[in-house]
Parts: sequence; C-alpha cells; structure tokens
Amino acid sequence: MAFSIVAAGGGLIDVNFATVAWAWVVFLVTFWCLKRVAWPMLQEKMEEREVIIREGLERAEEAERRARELMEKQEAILQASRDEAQGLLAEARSAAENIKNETVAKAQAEIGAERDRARKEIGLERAKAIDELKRAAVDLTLEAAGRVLERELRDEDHRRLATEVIDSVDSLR
Amino acid sequence: MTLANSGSHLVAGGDIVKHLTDYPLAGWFTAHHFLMLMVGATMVLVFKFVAELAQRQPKKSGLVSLVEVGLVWVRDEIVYAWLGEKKGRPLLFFFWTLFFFILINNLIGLFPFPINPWHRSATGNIAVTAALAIIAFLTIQVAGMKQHGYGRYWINLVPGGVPWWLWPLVWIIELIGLLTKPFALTVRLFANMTAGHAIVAVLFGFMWGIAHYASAATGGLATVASFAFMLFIMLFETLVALIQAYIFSVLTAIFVSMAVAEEH
Repeated sequence: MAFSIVAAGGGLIDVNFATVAWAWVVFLVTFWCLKRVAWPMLQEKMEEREVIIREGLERAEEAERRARELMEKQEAILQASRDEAQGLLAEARSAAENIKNETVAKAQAEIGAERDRARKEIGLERAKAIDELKRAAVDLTLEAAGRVLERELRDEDHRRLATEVIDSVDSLR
Repeated sequence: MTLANSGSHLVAGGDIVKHLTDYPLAGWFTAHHFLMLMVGATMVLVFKFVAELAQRQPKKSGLVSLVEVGLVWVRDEIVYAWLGEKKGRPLLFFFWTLFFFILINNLIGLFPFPINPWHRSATGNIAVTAALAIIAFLTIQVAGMKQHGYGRYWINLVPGGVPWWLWPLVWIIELIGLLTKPFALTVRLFANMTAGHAIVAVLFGFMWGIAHYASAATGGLATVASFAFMLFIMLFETLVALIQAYIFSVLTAIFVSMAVAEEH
C-alpha cells in the first residue's frame, strides 16, 4: 500500500491523506450542519407524530375495551331478560295449568253435586209417585170393595187394612 | 482531461483500474472530493428542506414520509436495536448522518454522465472509507470512555482473571483487536463498492467493444448480452449500496454497544 499526500488517481489501494482529511471535513461539516438545521426538527416532528399515533392507538384500544365491556354488559342484560322471560313463561304456563286443573276439578265437583241432587230428586219423586200410586190403589180398592159390599168403607180400620195389604204386596215384589 | 472525455477509457474498454481510482480535477482537488462535497451539500439542503416542510405542513407529504421511513428505520433497526433508547439517543444524529452519507455516496456512483460525469463513488476510495472508519473508531472509543471513565476504559480492555505477567501482552492483543475493527470497516465498504464498479466497467467495455469482434452478429449479441447483464448488475449494485451503508452503520452501532457494555 502506498501513501501519498496529494497524488490523486494513483493505485487502487493508495491512501491519499488529502482525501482522508477532506472526507473528515465534509462529513463533520455535514454532521454539524444537519445537527443544527435538520435533525432536531425532524426528530421532534417524528416524536410528536409518534406520540399522536401512540395516543390514538391507546384511545382506540380504550374505545375497543369500552365497546367490549358494553357488549358484555348488553349480553348479560339480554341473557337476564331472556332468563326472566323464560321464568315468566314457565310461571304463566304453570299458572294456566293450575287454573285449568282447578276449573276442571270445580266443574267435575259441580257435575257430581248436580248428579247427586238429580238422583235425590228422582228418588223423592219416585217415592212420592209410589205413595200416590199406593194411595190411589187404596182408594180404588176401597171403592171397589164398597161397591162390592154396597156400602162405603170409610173408617180408619178399613183404610189401614187396605194399606197394609198394598204394602205387603209391595214388599213381595 | 475534460469532463467530456473523462469516461473515454471506459469506451475504449482499456484500463479498468484507472476508472476505479480517483480522478484529479484541479491540483489536490479530485472527483471524489467533489462528489463528497456534493453529497454533503445535497444532504444538508434536502434534509433541511424536509425538516422545514415537516414543520410547516400539518399533514405529511410523500417526501417527508419517505425521509421519515428512512430515519425511523435507522433509529429503530440500527441505533436503538443495539444501543437501546437511553444510550442510543445521544448518538442518533451521528448515525443518521453516517448512514445517509455512505448510502448517498454509494448510490451516486451508479448515476450516469450528467449527474456523475466520472462514474465513480467516493466510497470506492479506500481513503474515504478509512476516514469514515476512523470517525467510527473515535466515536466508539469516546462512547466507551464516557461510559466507563477515561482511564478505566483502557485498563478494562484486558478481561478479569488474566495473570499479571500476561497482562501487557493481552492488553496489546486487545488493542490490536480494537484497531482491526475500523480496518475491517474500511476494507469491507471499499471492496464492495470497488467490485461492483469493476463489474459494471468491464460489462460497459464489452458493450462498446463491438468494433473489435470478428463479425457484427457476434458483436451485436455480445453487446445486447452485456447491456442486459449490466442492467442486472446496476440493480444489484443499488441493493449493495443500501446493504453496505447498513452494514457499516450497524457494525459501528455493535462496536459502540460493546464499548459501552457493563461487562467491558
């Protein structure tokens, strides 16, 4: 390697000290100028933008977090409403079932009571009809016997006798 | 030699080495000096313009965005990645200047005649890469000395546990190790830029050497093939320019991080 002070255009690996010194001067002057007129302003602007971007990102993350929370709350409210609606529906179904059962039971009870009352009335009517029939039979018997005997059987003994006969016939039946 | 015929040796396809070395302009002032000056001035003007544009406009323009992408990339991928924000912040302006100075110097060599009449890049000159490596070396040492103390930094070059009688020898070895770092930086950048330019120069020579071929068909084919390959190499060199600027900066950042590390 050859070293020279001013010889330019020498060998490929000749170190020209004038070039070395010139490179130092140019680089350091460039560095000094940029340090004064460009780098601080650019750095400040870049950091300003980075702060804005970072804040924007933080705000966006915060908004996203809030939106997620709201969504979760909404979901919870919706779920609670759904559960409540299900509960109300189940309650209504149960109430309707109870009312239906009560109504049916009541109707059945009423029908039973009506049936009993009708049976009782039929029994009474029947007994009344039998009594009337018996009475008519006694009257007819007495009238027939009076016609046969040509005298009226009116005393109580005859009537009682006729009634006993009819009762005995009735008991034989 | 005038600007117009400065590239004539390329056309002749003759002395490739002459194309790769510096080109004298006036006395001690050379093409590489001019290119560095141009790059430095361009950087100051462009970055100042961008800084003012960024201050004036509330909304970012395309140019401001492009420059900011580069600055943020250097800051996050090179400086803060290796030094952290606390230690990297004081050196951020230095690394921005270093990276863009090397990058633009690398790229300027790929520009054709009207912009760069000498078809050279200053980073293809070993004196320029050595100067940049020395600046990097001094930055590394100053950062280390500020971190550990001016005397302690040099004493701590020798790791703990070394016997006292071996201490001077290890210190010298460590010092040589320290000095090889800027040497590696110098050679790596210089060799990469020179190699790229050499390939482009050779292909350019083939392209214009059509008259020397046996037939026009052979010459035409060689010219087309050379041109296509040269385009590919130019694109590849663009990538190399970026990679070498990155490597130089990132290695400097790594060396600074080693110098300021607690276990130094």
